[in-house]
Amino acid sequence: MSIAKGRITQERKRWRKDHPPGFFARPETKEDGSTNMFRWKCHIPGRKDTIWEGGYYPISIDFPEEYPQRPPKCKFSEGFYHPNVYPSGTVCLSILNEDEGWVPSITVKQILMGIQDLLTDPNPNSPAQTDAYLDYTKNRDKYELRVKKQVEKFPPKF
Amino acid sequence: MSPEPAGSKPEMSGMQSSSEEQDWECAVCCELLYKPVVPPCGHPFCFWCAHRSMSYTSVSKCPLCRQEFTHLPRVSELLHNVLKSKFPGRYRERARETVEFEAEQEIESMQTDETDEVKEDEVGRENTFAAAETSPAASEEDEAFRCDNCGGRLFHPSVVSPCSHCLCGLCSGIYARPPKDEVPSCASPSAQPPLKQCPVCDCTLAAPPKVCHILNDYLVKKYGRAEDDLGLIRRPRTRSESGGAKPACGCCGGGAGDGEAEGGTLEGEGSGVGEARREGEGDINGEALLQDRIIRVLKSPCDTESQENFVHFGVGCDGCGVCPIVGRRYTCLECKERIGFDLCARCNESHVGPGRFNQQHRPEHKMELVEPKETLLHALLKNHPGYTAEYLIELLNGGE
Repeated sequence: MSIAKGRITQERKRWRKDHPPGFFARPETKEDGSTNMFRWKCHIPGRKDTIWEGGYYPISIDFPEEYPQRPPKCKFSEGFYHPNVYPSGTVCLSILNEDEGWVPSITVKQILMGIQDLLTDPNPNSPAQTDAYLDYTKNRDKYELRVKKQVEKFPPKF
Repeated sequence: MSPEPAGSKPEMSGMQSSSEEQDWECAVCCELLYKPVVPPCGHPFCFWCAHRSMSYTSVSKCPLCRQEFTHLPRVSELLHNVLKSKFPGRYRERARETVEFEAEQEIESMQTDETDEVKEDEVGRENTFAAAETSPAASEEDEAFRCDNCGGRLFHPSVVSPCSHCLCGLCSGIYARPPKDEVPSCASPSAQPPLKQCPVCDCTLAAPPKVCHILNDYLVKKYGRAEDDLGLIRRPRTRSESGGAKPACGCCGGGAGDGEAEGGTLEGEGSGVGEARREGEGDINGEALLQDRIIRVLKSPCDTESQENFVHFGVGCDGCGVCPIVGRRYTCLECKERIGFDLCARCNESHVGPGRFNQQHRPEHKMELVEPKETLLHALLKNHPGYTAEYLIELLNGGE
């Protein structure tokens, strides 16, 4: 077993044993029914008592071959509205950047909780899309309105 | 893969993964460390995790703190034995997993004295609950925590890379005895040059070792801080060139320096991410160090003219573990292992015994000097001095 696969298996084990409530994370099931350990499908709940509450945001985690030497890539759906999410949906977060905060000891749980934090506390110093960034910095009312609209797009699955 | 025999212990070992076991996890695979190796920064990794994390073309970086290193260290026998006695069941399981992995890859990891026993003993007989503190083995364990150099009680331990001897704070020169025991003429504690040779085996150190926190935390928990008990004081370091572990005299040349900041490695309790980052700096020793010379060659524009600076991409030394080999490279004509057996110029003079990957090399085997042959990568690096080897390889592989 490669180091990456071994580590992902370990992450899976840990997640099943203990994960934060409301979160969901599971390796992707391919069309032929087999499991692709290198891509996980996850959901992050919006934090309570914030404008993100009620949303249940799907995000995929792609593990590179060199994981955990290199960080995984986390991606919301295309066009996700948030100052630190690229138009492609890729999350811009320091702990997910190889040259910044990534270290191999960061777990999937920490990543997902880190992204949950990022949702409510955007980082205006590293904007990744113009729309949400401008609204967030210049027109907070409009920003909140659009976030709340987005919440409706991602209702709980059950 | 055969199913586990009934009544064997997987459930129990599952229970065992306590917080204590988590203290001994490898940061790369997140499992119990197996065959731990410790780069000079002091962060332990499994042998294979460290090996896989290393660069074959350039300077390697610690996966945790990113301190640069160039040598794949030997497996630390001391840590290996601690883990084996603390988590017998789980460690045996890890051994089995690793043996399986190695069979699959047709490659072997460095052998420790006891690995064979693990191989033969497929089914663990022992109870998996490690009763480290109360069992009769405890006193034996105490015996294990001795400095490889002075034989004294181990404290503030550092694991020397690449030979993996374990030194106490006094032998590694981080601590000094109180002034009255010191060299009389000088103001003590005298400045201490960085350790350049292992005091146990005299091998040239890649870089001065830093404290191995995982072991230090364990020792402190078990015995308290020995440096306090003994009334030892921390010694400042200088960039002085004078080698050896003997304290250099502050008046006669040794102590001119600004006192190395020590990179904050000393105080550590716990080994969280933040701390690991803080440790990463603090590497300001003179270039007399072996590792610094290798790093300089690896980072400077590709030089294929001089044999001394030729980089053998993708080939590591089976003696000292340096990877890639810089300078003359010798290869064994008789070792049959698929991975081959290579030595750097320095090790070709002195190395005996099996290789890093357990190649059964013998001193009477014929070694041959490998003529430096320019590869595509060398040519590319020469023509594009601004790029790193890794980046160029990624380009060749069709990356963005």
